[in-house]
Amino acid sequence: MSNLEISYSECQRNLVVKLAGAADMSQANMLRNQLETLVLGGKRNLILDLEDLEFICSLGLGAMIHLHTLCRKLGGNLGILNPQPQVRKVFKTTCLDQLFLIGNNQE
Amino acid sequence: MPRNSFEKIEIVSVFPQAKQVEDLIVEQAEKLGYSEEDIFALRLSLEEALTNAIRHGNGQDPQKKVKIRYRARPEEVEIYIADEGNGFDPSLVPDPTREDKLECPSGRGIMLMRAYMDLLEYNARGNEVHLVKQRLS
Repeated sequence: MSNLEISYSECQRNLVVKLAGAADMSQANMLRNQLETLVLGGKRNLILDLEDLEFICSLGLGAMIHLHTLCRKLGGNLGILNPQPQVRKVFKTTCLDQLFLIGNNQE
Repeated sequence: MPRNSFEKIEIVSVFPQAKQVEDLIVEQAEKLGYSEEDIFALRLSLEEALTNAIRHGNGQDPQKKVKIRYRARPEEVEIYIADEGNGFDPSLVPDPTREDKLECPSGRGIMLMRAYMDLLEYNARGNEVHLVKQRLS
C-alpha cells in the first residue's frame, strides 16, 4: 500500500485535490493539516478527487469530516469525486454518503 | 509455523510499527489467495483495532506496548490485539451513523470492524479485541 500523494488543480472557484494511495493512520494527520492550511488561507471550496485513492480508514474519514465542517463554517463546501468501489463502500457503510456530496466526473 | 499456532508480536505504541504488523498479516492473507475484498476488510479492521489500541488504550504512550497474536489459515484469519489501558465497554460507544453523530470526526472504528469482519468481540476488561475474517470464497 503506497503512501498518500496529494496534488492540486483549480477548476472554476474550486480547488480540486487529487488523493492517491492510502488515507490511513500514518497519513490522515498530514492530509488534515495540509488542507486545513489551504482552507484557512482562503480555499473554501474543495473537491476531493478520490479516483486513485486505494484505501481509507476512520482517521482518513475523520480528516475529511473536519475539513467539510471547516469549509461550511467559512461559507464554502467540500465535495467528493470518483471514489473507487471499496472506498465508496466505506462511505456508505458509515452513512457518510449522507453527509458528503459524492459524484462521478460523468455526473 | 504450525497450522494451528498463533504468531505473537509485541510493538510500542507508534503508528509505523503498527503499519508493519498490518502489512505482515495482510501479506500472509494475500499469499493464501484471499480476495481483494477480503484483503481490504482485513487491512481496514487491523488499522482500526491497532489505532484504537495505540490512541485510546495506550494514550499514544510509547512506553506502553500493544500485543498481537494472529494466525492466517486458508479458511480464516484470526487476530487478538491487546493494549495496556484500563479497557472500555464497547456497548457504551454511540452509533456513529446516527444523524446527530454524522459530523463527529471520530468514533467509527468499532462499527467498521463489525461491518467488515465475521467476528468482533472484546474481553471482559475491554482491552483486548478478537477479530476473525473468514474467507469469502
